[in-house]
Amino acid sequence: MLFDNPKWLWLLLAALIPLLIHLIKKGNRSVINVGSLQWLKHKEYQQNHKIKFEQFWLWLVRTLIFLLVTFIVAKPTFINIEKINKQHLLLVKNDIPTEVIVNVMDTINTNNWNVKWLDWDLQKVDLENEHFEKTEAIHPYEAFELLAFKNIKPKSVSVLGSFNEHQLKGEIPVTDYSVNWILLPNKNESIASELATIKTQNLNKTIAIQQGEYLAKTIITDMDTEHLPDINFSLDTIIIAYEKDKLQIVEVCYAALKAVVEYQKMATKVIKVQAENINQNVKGDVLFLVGDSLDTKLVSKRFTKVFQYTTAINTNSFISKNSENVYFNFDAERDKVPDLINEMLFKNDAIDKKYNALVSLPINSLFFSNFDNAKQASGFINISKMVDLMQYIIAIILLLILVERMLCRFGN
Amino acid sequence: MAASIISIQQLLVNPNTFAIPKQLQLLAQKTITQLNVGMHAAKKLHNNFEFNQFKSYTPGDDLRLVDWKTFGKTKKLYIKQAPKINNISVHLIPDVSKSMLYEEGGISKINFTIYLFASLCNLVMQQQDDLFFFNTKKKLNLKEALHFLTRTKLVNKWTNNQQQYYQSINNNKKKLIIYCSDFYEYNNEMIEWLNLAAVRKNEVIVFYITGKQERDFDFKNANHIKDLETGQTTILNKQIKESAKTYFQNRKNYLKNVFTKNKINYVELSMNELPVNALSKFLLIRSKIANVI
Repeated sequence: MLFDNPKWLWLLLAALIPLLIHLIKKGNRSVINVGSLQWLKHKEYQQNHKIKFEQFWLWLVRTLIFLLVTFIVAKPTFINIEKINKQHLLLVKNDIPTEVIVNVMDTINTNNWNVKWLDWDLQKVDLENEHFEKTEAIHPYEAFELLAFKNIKPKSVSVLGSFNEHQLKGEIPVTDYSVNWILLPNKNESIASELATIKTQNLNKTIAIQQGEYLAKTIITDMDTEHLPDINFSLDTIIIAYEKDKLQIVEVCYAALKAVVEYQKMATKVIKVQAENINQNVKGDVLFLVGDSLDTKLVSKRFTKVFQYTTAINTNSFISKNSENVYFNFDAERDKVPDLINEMLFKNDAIDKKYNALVSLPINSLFFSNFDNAKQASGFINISKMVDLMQYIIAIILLLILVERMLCRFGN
Repeated sequence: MAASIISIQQLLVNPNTFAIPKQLQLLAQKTITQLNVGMHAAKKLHNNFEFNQFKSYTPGDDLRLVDWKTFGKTKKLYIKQAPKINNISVHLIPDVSKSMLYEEGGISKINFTIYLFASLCNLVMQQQDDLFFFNTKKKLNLKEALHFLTRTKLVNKWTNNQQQYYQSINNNKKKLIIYCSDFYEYNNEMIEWLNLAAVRKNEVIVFYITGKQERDFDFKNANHIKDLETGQTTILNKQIKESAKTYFQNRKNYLKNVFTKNKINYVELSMNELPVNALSKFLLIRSKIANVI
């Protein structure tokens, strides 16, 4: 069992407190001689044993309370240790040219680097036979989803392949390992270069890979150097203002926001309100305006960030921006609304630059079933599991405290 | 040099008091002295018998008892009568079960009993009655009685000495039995024995000794209690305290009823009282008995 906050494990020593109390109490045992106890009924003699039995349970319950409190603070992660693969992973797209692989493989093998080659479905690449499974997976996001779902925590991940804009537009989930993007030129070289710039902007350099040697070098040298920026964005209230005819979209937006808030473990209120009820008194951190006719300028000054759903956005470019707004154009068929909102809120540099964003939300009638599917495969599942576990532990602690109090009362 | 005066309290606290007959006698004498405070010796000495009443002479009466002075005045024969002096046998019987080791205020129940009996021994000797201790068959003098008292041996339970208790009431001679106990019994064995003693036309006076703390079960700072008879230790909790209070209240009423029913004189003694009070109660009971007789 691993812990997210192992530094708090010293609190386990607190579990000894009940034992110490018991020993101290035992040491302080003061006995008074009385003439005879023959008048004590047999039942009361039996109670003596009962009290000892209760004391044992009292000790056990108190110890468990301390242990569970420590567990909550230390945040245990119940994953199979065997699955924690602290190796460098190389996620290889299946359409990568063989000559590139051979070049990279030679370099890596010569230097005895501990790199595991995985294809998009996380199947081990058969390097000896230079054999690749042709998988159905589309873009790297799904590979990262699989990593999260299987609780694999590599030291670093390098993604190797040539991608089109659709494959690259989705961000990866939040990871605690470094991710390197090694982009091979594809048919539209200019787009690849632009994407490479975006994806590697934290490294402050552009990787335009032409040769296998340079590629291998990049994999190794950039390992452990790049970490995704931590999310540190506190939200108090998210208000969704909507027009009457956009009820369906509002519900989707509301559910997605709730999911994101839960995913990010935030104490954030999500409030739905009709647009006509928006007045001077409505304030919050984030405003979602759902409707075409709403004027963002009227309310934008009272909110740190304003998003607007509108059907009017229809841009062909992946990302285009002007001085005030960033337009997103997501694939309504493939993208998932919670992930999308999550990205909008936390991962977009436009947010950091305090731009307002105009978003075209992909809405379809199958959203809720899609959302369930997403929960099964994405990082949401881990968080929700943890939340459930904490709820159970807190409930158990409360129950134990109740039992402890009852035992104390019976003991007296 | 001022003579050091040892008080009763000092003697009570001293463990040697109950082990050395002389010390015990000192304690008993001091108590008896306290008891006799206010009494004084008669100024004039009377005849060797105490006049009580005149009785008309009937044939067969001893002529030596005829009061000739009265005959000279009244020309009638009268006989002078004096009360008959009866010597009774006093049997002092302590409860020698280990429950009597219970201590309160620095004195144990058994020592309290010994102290009480030692004082009684002095009283009995003053009365020139016959004194017996437990199941001794021979009449004891004060020294011997104190010797027996200081060498009282305790047994775990009353029933371990049951045979000797029955022996002590076995002979047919009428006697005064003074029994001192805390009345911790399992199957009414003490009460049965006392009933038997009372049935044989003996006078029975029972001293029931308890301590105030014991009755209230007010043992502050104690979390365990130990049975002196069995050695068993139990956790002291509220429930046991309540049971104890109820027990002592019921026990007191029960003993009172049983002894009254069987014409056994019953005196409650608190270990917190001075034995002088106990002796006063005893004398009061004795005087009542004498009046009845």
